[in-house]
Order: sequence, then structure tokens, then C-alpha cells
Amino acid sequence: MEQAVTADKKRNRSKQSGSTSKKIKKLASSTIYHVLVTLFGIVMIYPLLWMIMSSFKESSSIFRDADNLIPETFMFENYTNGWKGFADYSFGTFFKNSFLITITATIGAVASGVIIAYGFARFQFKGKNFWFSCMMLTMMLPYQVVMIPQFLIFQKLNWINTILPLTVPHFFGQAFFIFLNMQFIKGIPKEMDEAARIDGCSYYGVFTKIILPMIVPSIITTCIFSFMWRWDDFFGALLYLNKPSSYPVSLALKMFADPSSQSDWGAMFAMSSLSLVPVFLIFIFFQKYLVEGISTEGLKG
Amino acid sequence: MKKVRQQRKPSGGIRAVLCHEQAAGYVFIAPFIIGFMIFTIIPIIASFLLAFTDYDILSKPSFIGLDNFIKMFTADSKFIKSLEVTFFYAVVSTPLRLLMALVVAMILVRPSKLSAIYRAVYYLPSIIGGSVAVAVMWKQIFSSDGVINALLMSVGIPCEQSWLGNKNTAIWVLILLSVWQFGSSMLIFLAGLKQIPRTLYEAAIVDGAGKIQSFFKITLPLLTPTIFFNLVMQTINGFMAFTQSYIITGGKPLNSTLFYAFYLYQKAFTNYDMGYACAMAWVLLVIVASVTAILFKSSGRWVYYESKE
Amino acid sequence: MKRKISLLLTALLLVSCITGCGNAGTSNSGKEVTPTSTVASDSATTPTAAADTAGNASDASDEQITLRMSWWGNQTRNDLTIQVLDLYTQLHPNVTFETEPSDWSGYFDKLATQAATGSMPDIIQQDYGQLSTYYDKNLMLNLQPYIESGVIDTSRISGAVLASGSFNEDLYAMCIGLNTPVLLYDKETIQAAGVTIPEQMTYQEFFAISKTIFEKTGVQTYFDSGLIGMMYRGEGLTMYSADGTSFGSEDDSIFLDYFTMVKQAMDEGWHVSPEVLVEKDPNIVETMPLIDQTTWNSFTNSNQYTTISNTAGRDLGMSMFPCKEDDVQQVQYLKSSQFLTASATTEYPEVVADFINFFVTSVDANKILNGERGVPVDSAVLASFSDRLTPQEQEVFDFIDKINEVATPMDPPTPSGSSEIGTLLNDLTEQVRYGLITPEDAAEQVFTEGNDILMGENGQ
Repeated sequence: MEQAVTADKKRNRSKQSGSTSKKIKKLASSTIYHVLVTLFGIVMIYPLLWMIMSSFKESSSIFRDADNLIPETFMFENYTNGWKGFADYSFGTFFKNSFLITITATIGAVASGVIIAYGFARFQFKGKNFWFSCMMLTMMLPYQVVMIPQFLIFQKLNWINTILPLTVPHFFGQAFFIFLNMQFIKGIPKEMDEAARIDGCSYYGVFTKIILPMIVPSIITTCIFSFMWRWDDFFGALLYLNKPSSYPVSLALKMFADPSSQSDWGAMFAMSSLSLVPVFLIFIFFQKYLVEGISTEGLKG
Repeated sequence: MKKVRQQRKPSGGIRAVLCHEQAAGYVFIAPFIIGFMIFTIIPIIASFLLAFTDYDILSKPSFIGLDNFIKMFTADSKFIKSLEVTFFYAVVSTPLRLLMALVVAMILVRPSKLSAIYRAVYYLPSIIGGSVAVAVMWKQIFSSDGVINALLMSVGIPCEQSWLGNKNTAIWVLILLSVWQFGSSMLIFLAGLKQIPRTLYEAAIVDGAGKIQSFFKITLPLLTPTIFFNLVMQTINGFMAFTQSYIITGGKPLNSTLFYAFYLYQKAFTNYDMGYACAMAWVLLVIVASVTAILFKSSGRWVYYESKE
Repeated sequence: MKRKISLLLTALLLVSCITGCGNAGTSNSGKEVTPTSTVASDSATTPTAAADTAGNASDASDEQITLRMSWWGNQTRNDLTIQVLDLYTQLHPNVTFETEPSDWSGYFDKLATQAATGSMPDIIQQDYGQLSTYYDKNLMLNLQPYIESGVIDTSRISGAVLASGSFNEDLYAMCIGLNTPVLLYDKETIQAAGVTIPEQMTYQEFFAISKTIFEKTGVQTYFDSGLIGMMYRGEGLTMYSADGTSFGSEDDSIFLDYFTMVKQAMDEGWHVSPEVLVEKDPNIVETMPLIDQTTWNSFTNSNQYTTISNTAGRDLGMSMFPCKEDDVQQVQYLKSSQFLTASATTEYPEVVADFINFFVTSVDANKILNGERGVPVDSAVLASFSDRLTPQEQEVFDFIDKINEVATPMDPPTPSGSSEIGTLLNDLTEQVRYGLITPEDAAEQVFTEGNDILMGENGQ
């Protein structure tokens, strides 16, 4: 950030000599920038606004008044009704379950993603290409064809009805995150490793002292993605969790809509909106690390 | 365990160092190998073997040789159609989405008081992903009496077109939806941009380079690893696309939005033809793996790593 | 290399395990189960006497039993069902339940996975369309022995209802809610067009009315391949042959009639266009074209009446499906909205059977269930409902009553492969609507391909 500011200042200083017309031009361009970004932003989040607004509409009128963004009257009943959940379990329980699964899996995905990525990105070893191909391959088979054999494995492990199938595999690395972190590690000049090695660092020391601080942006990205994807995943939960008391939010949301009977859309949109809050907060909390210039410090040394 | 101990032993000589590196590499990727062995390899092999069987999930599979594959390419016009649709979708939507993500990331990397909010706003469509709300909205917007046609009308182009109902335009609506959800690629680009040392830009300014020059001389080359990553992942995702077909169009109209993965799902769980679905999965795997391999082969020419080996 | 071979062997082992699980079902259900009354059973209690049921509970053995039950549905159904399970546990303290509620779309994916891995719940809510498949694979428990031993009391349930869940005269699936096909119409539109909808139209009348409505109000009509089964019934046939290896007719004339109707309706302009149907999915309540008066009608089932009326926010009327003038029998029939079945591999078949009996015939249980799954099948239970229905529910009950007088027996469960044929019919209907294929070609294609599918699924 500081560096960015200094750079800006330098630029500004060099432009101060320019005429006032230049200043106006700059102001105009900045205004145009904000107006355009905002306008386009509204288009981007319209569906989200629609969903949130719908959560304040009367359930039966949601689809009839789909054209109107703003509800005629704001109702909060959808939230109180939805929060009640079902089968004696409120959404409090479901949120708790979601947090447990999501946070555990994310810790696993981040830790394993970074460690394995370092192995692939920085070492030459026999069979590297083979294992890398295997890793890529895991992303190319549709889940539908592997889910039954996988279910059998978890069944043999006696993990059905626990959160283990939803969390433990993440501690062994997810291809997407491994590959992502690999790309960022490869972006770090190798001379830095070597310098540290000469200073007496082992590979493990290099990993913690050089690599980790340098790839904070990709670690943050991994956190955000893993959190979001685990939070949204309902199919794994549907397969492996049988008791309503252990359902996460994503699965509980499905219970509002049933094509063969009355669906409580109002409550569904209310709880869907609410379920976006943690994902949104995680993003807001972490994204600032993408703004501040953490990664540059290493290079200065 | 043995490898770890070996690694810890102080060692000298080129040969020992090499061993050292070999071992350390395996130590770091060990979690992956273990997980792969426990959770992944068996399902993958099972799905491969099942591709040569008639397997209805509920009873025992029977070996039928290549019948599934023969049927696919000779007697299943929907299979061919879904392949075409998916190819088109992947090839068109991936570059568009990446371009969009890159442009917006470039715009939003500019520090401003509002940038946090802007980023959130542009990322949000990705958060709601494949929810019902999106499906409903998207149908609404592109319906014959929807927002798009109203807009066209207001600029003097009367249009009664049903964008999702027309077999030529329906796929474009889905492509647009995918481009709209560029948030995750954008985030990765932002992270990539963040990793580029500011010092390089400062040096460039001192050298008198303009914005455009420094974009092509610094930003773009240093961003290639990220671009490559996004390209590979989005291509794979494009081929594996499922949700939009599933929640918005159901493959209609006239199968013009029938994604491969969606057809596969129908085969497996609506028609209980898991053997056929497995065969389809492996055809898809071969295609996606080939495309990915080509991308990797090409990467040597245009992807620039600071740590060139 | 050695490792590769061992991996391959592991995989083979796994595949054989899948196989094994499939077989487990076979061996178990093949065995004739002789019901004994060692386990908690209140077979002697009359369902109307709740006090008796409670009294009997003390006879229950002390063995602690946990049953798993799965169903699909919404929040209301989840709440009500769990209350009924609690009631059963109150009466039989040794029986507790693990519940697995799910939404419709994921339900059968999960159930199939559980079936493949031998981990099906003990009690399973089932859909009519899936019955044959699960019966063919020997995954359902034969409930007939428990009827014979008196655990399940079917004395107040009509034979036709039982038949809908029976295979070879044996009951496998117990109907838990009556339903009948219905043509819903929008009263507002009908009035505006100045037409009246008779109790049952002929197809000619249906076409004429549709045309009038379109000309007077611009509101269109929707119908789909759901009519085909009814047309078969009108001719005294079933859509599928008894052994499930072919269609129930010698030629494709019924399909031709249907596709000709589709084309005519499109040509005359009163049928909603296929473009609009992509946006307004007729299979989803919230988007079906009736809701926003794009169409004046919807062919559906009677248990949807309340939902659709509420979603539309307007008054709807109910009428029977159309028939042909030369029909040899009434097309209308009573069907099950859903069934309860037991897993063939359940450890406690006796208790499960007793629970099914409780669920269907107990007045107290149904007081809680409140007809949410459809009109109760047990006449005593039905009688107990009379005074606590909403006007809309009353209308549905009355309509079912009316149908009950004229209904002909329901078709046996559709054979394996029928879902694939359903997809084929929808595809071809769409193509005819777009004018890409002639009715003749469509009829011929569905007849030949459909017969191939049926032969492949159910032939030797």
C-alpha cells in the first residue's frame, strides 16, 4: 500500500506542473470511472438484489411480481418462519454445522494445497509428471461416475453419517488449489530460495521463511474459494449426512422447495440471503490482503 | 518415514544433494499421494471398468465389451449433439470469461477508497452460483417480455424474441451467464496482479515508460502463470459444465443447451444406465485431457515463470 | 508394475462388491418371510382405537430398535412426519427413528447410491415411476405376508388402491395418499371467454374450447405427452404390455393421434409456443404458464390443486382429463401420490410392516399428517377427516370422491425404461411443436425406439 501511495504521489507531483485543464480532465476521467464501474456493478448484482428483495415479499407473490424489484410492503415473516427450520432444528443448528464442515475443510484445503504445491513447483523428482497428471485427472471425471465407488470406500471406513467424508479428503489436497498455489510459487524467483539455502535454510525452512510469505495472495484466494465452495456444497452432505441434526445450511435450503407440494419460496429466499452473509464477510475480510502489498516486502530485501 | 530421516541427515556431494531433492519432493507431495491412493484411485479405476459393462446401479454389472462406446458414436444422436453443444460452449465462453475477468481485474486493481466495495460487487454474482434465484432471474431477463427485449424496444428495436426458447440463441444466454460469473477468475487475476512487485513499475516509471508500455512489458508477462492457470481451469470447467443445463434450461430447446455432463447425469440417474454414463465420462476425460495437454505443451512458449528451470 | 496389478485387483474387488450388494437384495427377498409376533406388533389393535394401541405398546419386547426412514418433501411434510414418528416411539418405546428427509431432485440419486452400496433405509417413501425398477432389482420387501398375518390391516382400503402397489398379486408398496389426474382451469379466463368447462370434455370439445378462448382472450392452451397414457386407457389398453417388453398396442396409431393433435394445436395457434415453454417450465409450479395466465389450463394431479391455486392467487376449477367419443372406458383413475415401501434387507421387517400399518391406518397418526401427502386411503381415517378440512382441501376430497364413482382401475406400475421413453416423447413433442418433424415420423420413431428400449430393459 505504502509503495502504491508513493508511486501515486510521484505521479501526482510530476503532473502538478500541468495546467488546470489537465486537472479537470483527471477529475472527469475519475468520475466517468466511478460512474461506469457503479452502473455496471448494478447490472452485476441485480439478481442478488432481486433475491434479497424477494425475501421480503409475501411467499406466494414472489413469482407473480418477479418484475418488480421492490416489494409493496416489507415483510420479515419469511425470516422468522425460515429460521425455525424443520424437525425441531432451527437454522442456528444448520449454520453451526456449516461452519464446522466449512472451516475444517478449508483449513485442510489451504494447508495441503500449499504444501503439495511447493513439492510440485520447486522439486525435480522421478515420477513428478506422473503424479501431476494424476492430480489433473481428478478434475476431469464427472462426479456422478465416481460417487458410488467413493461412497463404498467411506462406508467401509464407517464414515457415513459423519462429517469425515466432507472434510478429511480436503486434507489430502484439492487439485484446483494445488495447481493455483503452484503457479504462484513458480512466479517467485528461484534465486531467493537459493540465497536462503546458502544462509543455511533447509527446504523446509525455505518453505516457511520464503515461500509462505510470498504467496499470501494465493493463500487468501484459496481460503475464499474453499470456504465458498464448501459452504455451497449440498450434494456431498446429501449423500453422506443422514440426520437432519447434522445438515448444513446448503442442504437445509433445499427443503423449502418441493415441486410436488407447496414450496415456501419466501422462507427459502430469506434463508438463502442469510446464508450468503458468511461467504460475503469472509470475502470482505480476506480481500483486503489482496490490496495491501504484503508480497513486495520479500523482494526488497 | 525413511525418506524423512534420510532428508535430515546432513549430506555432501552432488549425488547426495540430488537424492535429497528427490526425497524432499516426495515428502511435500506425500499428502496428495496418500489421499489419491485412499479416496480417488479406486473410484477412477472402477468407473473405467464399469464403462465396459451394462450397469444399472441397482443390480450387478455385466460385461458387454465396447458396446457402450459403439452405441455412443453410432446410435446416439443426443450424445453427438451434447458433445457439439459442450465444445461450442467451452470454446466460446472460456476466452470471453477470461477476457472479462482480466479487464475488470485491471480496472479494479487501481487503488481507490471504493475498491473494496467494487470488488465485492463484481465478485458477488459468483457467490450465488447456481442457485434457484439465478435461474429464475435469468429466465425472466431473457424471456419474450423480459428486460432485454424492453431495452431493445426503448432504443427502437422491437423484439419479441424469446432468447432462451430459440435454439440458436439459447446457448448464448448460458454463455452470457458464465461470462457474468467471472468473479472467481477475476479474484485470481487480482491475486496475480498483487504478486507483481511494485518496484518493477516504479523502475519503469523512472525509465519513462507509459501505462500501456508497462502493461505489456511488466504486467502481462508476469501475469502469464495466472492467465495460464485460469485458462486451464476454465477450459476444464467449460467442458464439465452441468449446473446451467440442470437448473435453467433442462437441455431445451431441442437439446441446444444439452451439456455433456448433464446428459451423462440423466443417463446415470434418470435412466439408470451407469455403465453408459461411465463410458461417456471416459470419452469426456480423453477429450479434456487432450485439450489440457495441448495447453500445457503450448505453455512453454508463452508462460513466463520467474523461476525458469 | 506389481503395484499397478494390485490396484487393478482392488478395483475388481470393489466392482464385485457392488455386485455383491446387488445380490444381497436378491437372496433376502427371495426368502419367504414368515411373520412371527415376537417383535413389537399391535396387529390386533383396531386403528380407530388409539387407547388400545397405547396399551399394546407395553407388550413390546425390550430390544432397542432403530429404524431409518427416508422421504422427500418440504418443511411442512418434514415436521408432520417427524411428529408421527415421535408418536410411534411413544407407543413403542423400544423403537426409535433416524430420519433422512431430502428434496425431490436429490432423493433418487441418493437412494440409488444407497441401494448400490447396500445401505438403504428401512422405510422408504417411493414414487410410482420408480416402483418397477426397485421391484425388478428385488430391493423392496414383500408386504403380502404381513397382510396375511394381520400386521397390516387392509380391510378398509380399496382393492384398486392396493393393486397400484402390487406385483403379481403381492403388495410391495403401500399407497399413502390418493390422487387423480386433473385438468385445472382458470375461472377468470373461462368467464372472460364466455365458455364453460364440462365435467369431462371430449378432445373435440377441448380443441373447440381452446380455440374459442384463444380467439376471445388471447390466452393459450398447454398439453403434453401425459395425455398418451390416458388415450391408451380410453381404448381399454395399457400404455405398456403386461411383461413390459413393448407398448400395449399393436401399432403406433395412438402416438400418431397424439402428435397430430400437437401439430394441429400449433398450426391453429392456440397452443403455447415451445419457445415460451423453455422460460415457463410447465413442470414447476411457480413457472407453469397457467400461473401468469399464459395458458388457461394445466394437466396435473389433484394434490397439486391447492399449491397451484395459492401460487396463482386466483380461483381454479377442476375437470377430468378429456376423452374420445369412441372410448370404450372411462380414462379417469385413482392413483397414489406416493408410496411407503420397506427395504428388502431391513433387519426388522415385522416392525417396519407394523409402522407402515400405523402410518396408513391410524387415525391419530393421520390427524397429524393431515392429508398433506394426498387423500387418505383408509376409509375410517378418511371419515375422521370430514370436519377439519379447508374449503380447498374439501374440493379436492370431493373431486376424488366423484372420480371414485367412475374410475377404472389404475394401470400397473410402469416398467423399467419408461423414464427413458418419457424423455424421448418430450423430445419428439418439442420437435413437432417446432415443426421439425411430421407427426407420422414422430409416431413411428417413438414406437420403434420405445419398443427397443422396453425390450432391452425387460426382455430376456
